[in-house]
Amino acid sequence: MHRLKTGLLAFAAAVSMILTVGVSPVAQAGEWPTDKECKKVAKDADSVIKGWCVAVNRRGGNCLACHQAMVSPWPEGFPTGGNIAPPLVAMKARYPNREDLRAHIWDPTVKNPNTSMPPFGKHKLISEQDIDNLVDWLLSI
Amino acid sequence: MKRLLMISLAAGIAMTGASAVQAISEAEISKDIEEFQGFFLKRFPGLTLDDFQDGVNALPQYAARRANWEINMDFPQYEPEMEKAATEWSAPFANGKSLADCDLAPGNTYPVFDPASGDLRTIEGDINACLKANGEEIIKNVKRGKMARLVAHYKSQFNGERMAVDYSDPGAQDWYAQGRQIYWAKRGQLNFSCADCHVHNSGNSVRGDVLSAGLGHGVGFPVWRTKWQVAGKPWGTIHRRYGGCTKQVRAHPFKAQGEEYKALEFYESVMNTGIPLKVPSLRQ
Repeated sequence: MHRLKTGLLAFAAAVSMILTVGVSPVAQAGEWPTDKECKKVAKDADSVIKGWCVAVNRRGGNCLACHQAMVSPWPEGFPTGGNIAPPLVAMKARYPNREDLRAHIWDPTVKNPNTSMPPFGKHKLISEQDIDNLVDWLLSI
Repeated sequence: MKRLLMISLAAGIAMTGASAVQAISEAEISKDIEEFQGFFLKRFPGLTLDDFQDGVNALPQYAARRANWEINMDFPQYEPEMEKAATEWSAPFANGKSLADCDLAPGNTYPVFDPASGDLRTIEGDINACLKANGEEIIKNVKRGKMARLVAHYKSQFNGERMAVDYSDPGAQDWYAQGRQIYWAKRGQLNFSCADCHVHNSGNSVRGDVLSAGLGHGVGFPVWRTKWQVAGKPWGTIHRRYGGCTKQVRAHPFKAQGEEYKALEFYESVMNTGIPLKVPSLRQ
């Protein structure tokens, strides 16, 4: 009887693992999708995950082209960011006011006309919704 | 650095102001060269002026990939093409002459300002002018293929000769001013100037790629490029590369052999003064 009980428990554990890990490939709590996996992210996914997807997509914000960003755990085999611009760390401390961060992404040339950072909102590189999601993600890291 | 910033600011003002670009004297251009080259020699200590002929391969940030490039340069894939170009160069026209009889400037002095016409002569333009003058058909595609191969053949005969573009004529200085403005002005949806990447961020990484130094741009051109080879057209002139770069900042490219890219080629060639020619080359 005891042996049967352990067997059943193990079986149940295996089933639940398949359910949680096997069925949904992305956007598990604490998991960051790669740019390819981002294509499968659901429309009603968390804005933080969607913001990350804007950052890593080459046709989106492509933030990682120039910035390093730390998320944990880093997606396996995913290339790290460039070193053109400052790393995206402690964003909440650097931007206590959310609107300042949003405005800087929208048009960084306001603060520095010579900046290499593209005016993402002003030049319509990404949508206003993308910028909102991006800010949500940035303030979470 | 301060001056580089001032130039970029000046370029920005010129962009927003009248279309005419202010004249730049010979002495100012000499000073520009000194400061441009000085900036890169300071940014990449250990490199000599000559080293910049290898483009991005010269940079320490690219060191891990340089060995691979060197191996490929030992037996470059373009060798059969260079033999073909040599044959084409001496192939007789209908009138018995050949490209070898064309009146061309030394390969290390292009682009050449022509005071009579006020135009800037590029090697591509000179080859086509010579073909036309001899009653031959001109080469329509001035960005790749046969033209790039022929230019590579001609310029390679001047390998080791130091870049020496003449900017003493006031007309040439106007071309220089236009080229400098294009180099430092921001453009495209991404709002990048040539200098944003190739001066201020030279040697830095855009994700996995290393940005080349502006110094030395063009000294190895025409090149045989892996990216272009994938699409089946490996040869490219410097104007083809400019077009690709302009598209990457999401702007409309200018026309190859048009006024804008000729001016830009002039500016970059003047900045390269003293660097030995090394044509052709392999690029990624």
